[in-house]
Amino acid sequence: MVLSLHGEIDLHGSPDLRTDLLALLQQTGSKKLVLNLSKVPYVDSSAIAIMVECLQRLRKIGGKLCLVDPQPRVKGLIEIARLNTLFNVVGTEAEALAV
Amino acid sequence: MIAAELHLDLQSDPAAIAPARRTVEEFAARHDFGERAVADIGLCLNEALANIIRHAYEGRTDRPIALHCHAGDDALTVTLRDWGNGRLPDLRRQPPDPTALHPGGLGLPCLKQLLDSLEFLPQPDGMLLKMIRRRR
Repeated sequence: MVLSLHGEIDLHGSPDLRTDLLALLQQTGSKKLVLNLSKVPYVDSSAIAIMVECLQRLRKIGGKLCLVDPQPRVKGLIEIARLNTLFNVVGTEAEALAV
Repeated sequence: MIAAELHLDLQSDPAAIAPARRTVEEFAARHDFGERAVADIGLCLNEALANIIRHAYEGRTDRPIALHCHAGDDALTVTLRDWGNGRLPDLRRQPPDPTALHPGGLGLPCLKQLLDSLEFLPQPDGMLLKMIRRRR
């Protein structure tokens, strides 16, 4: 499943995003979630927590989470959280699909 | 001369976080803080406001938060005053182990990592948070 997110994600939007993403994972049973972040200029820790929760769910079924083209501020926070080695971070959707 | 002080009266509504962050980032940029420092200040303000809303005000969206910024020669000082439950966070707590995949708990580690000084000053009726980011 490939999803493109748009805009800034902070505590204002993250509760709805969490609900939607977890519901989609549940409904589709998808084992791979590709989040295209190229149009997301900013996230806070509440957005990172959602990605961690998605990865948690996916790993339980042997699945994977790929983040595509995170912008510098997003990449920076992923590194601060030391999650860059756990998430598959790639440059393009094609690369993500090949992981 | 550009004012070196900024004061904002906010409500504890998550919708208030992004406008406040942008205003403070613009204030820092106007006072010649570099791109990295501006981004760090914005993220720390975001995380601090989110913590106040979630923990001090326990999700209530109608409570006051007073934000004050001072741009000095060496550093930007941001203070946030709330009238919430006044509970001190555990500053000794280590950041979550990433391999444990525990969602949450990242806000305070961000503040500790990105700021030069972070002080929680308990008030009789809430908390005063003082954050300092040097220009470097």
